[in-house]
Amino acid sequence: MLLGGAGLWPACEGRIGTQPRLSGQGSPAQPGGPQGSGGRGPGTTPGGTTGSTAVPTDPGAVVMRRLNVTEYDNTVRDLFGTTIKLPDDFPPDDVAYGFDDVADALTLTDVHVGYYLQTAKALAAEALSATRRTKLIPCDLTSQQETCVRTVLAAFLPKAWRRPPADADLSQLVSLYTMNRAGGATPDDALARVLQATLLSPQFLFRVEYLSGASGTPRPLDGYELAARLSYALWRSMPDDALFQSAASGKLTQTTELQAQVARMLAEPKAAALADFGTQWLEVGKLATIQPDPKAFPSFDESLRDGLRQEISLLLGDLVTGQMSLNDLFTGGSTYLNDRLATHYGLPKVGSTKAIRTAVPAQRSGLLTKGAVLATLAHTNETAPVLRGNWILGQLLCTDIPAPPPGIPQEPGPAAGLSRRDRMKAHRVDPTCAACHKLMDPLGLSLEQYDGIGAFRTTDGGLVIDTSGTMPDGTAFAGPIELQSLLAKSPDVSRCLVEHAFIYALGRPPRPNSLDDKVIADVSTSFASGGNKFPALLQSLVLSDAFRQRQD
Amino acid sequence: MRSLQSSRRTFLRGAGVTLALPFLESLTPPKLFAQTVASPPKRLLYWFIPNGVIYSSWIPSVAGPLNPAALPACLQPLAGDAGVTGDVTVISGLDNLCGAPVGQGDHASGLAAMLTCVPAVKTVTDVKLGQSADQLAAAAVGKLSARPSLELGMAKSGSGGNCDNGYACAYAQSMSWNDAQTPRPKRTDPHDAWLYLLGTDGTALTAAQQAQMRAGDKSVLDYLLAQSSAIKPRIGAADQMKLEQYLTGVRSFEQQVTSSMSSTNPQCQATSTGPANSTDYITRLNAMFDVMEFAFKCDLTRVITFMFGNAFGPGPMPWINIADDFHALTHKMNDAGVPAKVAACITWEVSQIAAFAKRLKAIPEGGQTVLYNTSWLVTSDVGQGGPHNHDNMPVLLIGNGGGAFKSGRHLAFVPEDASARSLAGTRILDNRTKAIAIPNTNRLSNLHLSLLKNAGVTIDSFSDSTGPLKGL
Repeated sequence: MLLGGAGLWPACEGRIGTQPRLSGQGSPAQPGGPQGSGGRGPGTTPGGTTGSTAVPTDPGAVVMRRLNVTEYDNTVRDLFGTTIKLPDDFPPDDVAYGFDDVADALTLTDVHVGYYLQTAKALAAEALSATRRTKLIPCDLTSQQETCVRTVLAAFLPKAWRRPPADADLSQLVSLYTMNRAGGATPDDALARVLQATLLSPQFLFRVEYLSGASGTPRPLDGYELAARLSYALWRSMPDDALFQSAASGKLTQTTELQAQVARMLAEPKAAALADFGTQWLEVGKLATIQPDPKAFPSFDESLRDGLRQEISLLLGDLVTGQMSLNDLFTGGSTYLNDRLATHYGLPKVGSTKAIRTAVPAQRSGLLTKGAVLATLAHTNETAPVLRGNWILGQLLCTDIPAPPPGIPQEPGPAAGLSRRDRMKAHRVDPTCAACHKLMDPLGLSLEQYDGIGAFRTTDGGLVIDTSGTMPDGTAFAGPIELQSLLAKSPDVSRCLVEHAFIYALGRPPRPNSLDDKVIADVSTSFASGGNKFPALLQSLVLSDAFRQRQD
Repeated sequence: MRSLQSSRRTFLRGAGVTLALPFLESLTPPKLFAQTVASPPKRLLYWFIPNGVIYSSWIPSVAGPLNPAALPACLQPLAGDAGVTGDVTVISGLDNLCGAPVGQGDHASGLAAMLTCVPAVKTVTDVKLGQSADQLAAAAVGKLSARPSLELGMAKSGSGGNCDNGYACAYAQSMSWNDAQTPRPKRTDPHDAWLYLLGTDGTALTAAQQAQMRAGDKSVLDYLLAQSSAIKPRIGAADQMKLEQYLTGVRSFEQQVTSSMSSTNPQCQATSTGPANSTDYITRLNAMFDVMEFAFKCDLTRVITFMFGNAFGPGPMPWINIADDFHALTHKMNDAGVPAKVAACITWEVSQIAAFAKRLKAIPEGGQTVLYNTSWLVTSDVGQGGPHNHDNMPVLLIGNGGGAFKSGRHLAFVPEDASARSLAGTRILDNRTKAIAIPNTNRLSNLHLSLLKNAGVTIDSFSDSTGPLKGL
């Protein structure tokens, strides 16, 4: 039997209405604190600072971030023009607050060091190969030795370490060359050691921001710090020559130049890396590993998985590049289909194995009807309305629902004459369950016309599916189309997207009752006035004090 | 032990061999063997079986000597062809109440506590646990072998986040923890693990080339230590903690580079390409067994952790015609036919354990066998999959820890105060704290303490232990 009675999970009782979880009052899942109950308390207004008229000025500081796997691979790609990547068995990056670039979760052990050395050896060997060495070495190493090494490093280090090195840095590395030569290494082998050392240095592996101002005071980032924050936020890679030049000239710290650089960067093909943000925000990366039960879903195969992946990544690509607004994401009447996916959706074939933009009927309009979302929010053998409802609340409305209490009885399985809604009756009857499920279930059940792999149906177990539901604030809707219209208009949804983008770009969650509140409110306003286009959001975020300054 | 090692090293260096030989009777020069009264290495092997067991098919009905002809159904593979019943101690009644979650999340919290006996802080962001037993051992005795420890698993760690009702994925994917914040990465590619053990990238090198390579590696790592220390005063306090973690990693790796061994034992050479990786579970599992056997046989490490899968793993077992997900099955024990399937899964796991035990038993060492000199702990995240309990954990102790532990028995424990179990079973934070405060002696941590002490770790307590486990 369930423990306690009504009120055991008061977090949900106070949640009528959407309550952004990460900023304002409340706490973003403080370690050791009550789990997932970080909602804004009653009586505060979104974006407002409570109880004080003074706007906080502390811009925060980001703990130095290790390059995650994607960032490392992209960085060496751009540094060397290589296709060498970290090996498959390199430890996967941990995720915090939903993203793989959060400083705290990017740990490092001797195991990482071993793989870094192995990869650096491969990179150095390739860079010193006959076909590539002239690109790196403009001098004669054999005759000039240390002088040549210094020349190589003077050009290489500012890029590898993303800022000009101190003279002592050069000297230490030249000494490493000398030491290896003395130990019997050939000039090439000794230079390879130097390159390996630069690639294992914390100045390469981490994004370091040095103390320069008075401790405990805000200061503007210098050009190089800003360039690195920008390039990893927008490209998941190192700055390019233009960005380095802008940093070196001091222009980058000026608002107009910063705006121009962001616009330029978003127009580069490398901005496609922003789709990583979308994938993590919507948690659709799981698509790669879902294993629907072949008995329940015999039509699921790898070509369908690929079709679903293509559709969602192209849609997210359109979103992050601004070709599609956030509103369009929910209400747009077209999507990307290939033949396999069109068949799965019960639509005419499009005549292509590569997904192409296709107009679709209402039942396939909007994000919530996309198979990638629906199939990742499902049990292996049937739909999961609770997961779907919880996802809408968490990812789209930034309202966290606490984990369920222990001792939950197993949900009754499918049975003839029993709808899914019927099977979940206990969620409504038992007050302990109802506190939270009355928020999740009406959202999730409205998507029951899409089965566990996103195929459309109108009946389940012989019963016509009821798609009606209510928003957390009580607004009723008839089905997924109306639900998506409500989401498209909701300022909470756009604000929630801003909160997620903040974490992704800054590598930390917004702090409660801080400057971050104002930043998120301001960015949300700019986003709305920019037609809910993601580039407008990014421009505004990058121009904020949280992004351009740090607390030393 | 250490002085013996160095004396052997000196001897061998004089004989023209660069580094120490593994301690293997068949390979030890008879003269050297006669000169020294060596005790063979004491190894630790920690082995995770996911989703618990079925007590009725696991716990022998009586305490005392194990009868190979009357083992519980899931343990029967220990008898039969493997013939290792006499090498196994079945231990019942041990509790790991630290594994009880707050609310739901038993698999993640149970796995997290398996080798730490620390309650995992429920979070999907800033994980906090504790150092695991294997890493405590690695820190203490790891220097005696080329690699302080080896972490292996059949399933990769996926992307992180929330893996179990609000518990971070790190808890559900790692049984080995460097420290409270740092899950230790595991290797899932057996070939890669084999190269790591040998300290090679796979290219054949002469002894001189190897020495040169290590000297070069060391020069790079020394540079990093010096250069990074110089950065330290220029960064903030939180950054300094990150840098310290980096420095610890570099130092630990450097230790491994300098202690890499090359032996003249033909069986311990990188002459072959080594075990191959495979996408097929069974092929890869066997390659993992090859790696573990190689590591122990050649004394390349003394501490190994192995996971059949992550928490909730390892999935369906098509190789025994079970298409359903193992974990999902354990939640349907009331359905017709399901208990037999779950029992089949567990029995299969035991058959693999038995087969590997047989392999270690076939390697003579110091008048005994490698298995005899090993303390091999098999346990799980939960007691039984359905109830998700954290008391009466399934525990097998295989091997004899070099003679310290008497095997071929069923040791049965009961708590002095059974209220601890029911308190932890409420899955409420305060109750769990109270449960752990009750000084019952039937604790998994007491077994950890016994194994660690026997392996040469000088400690008097481990986590919530009350003392070494009685009756071992």
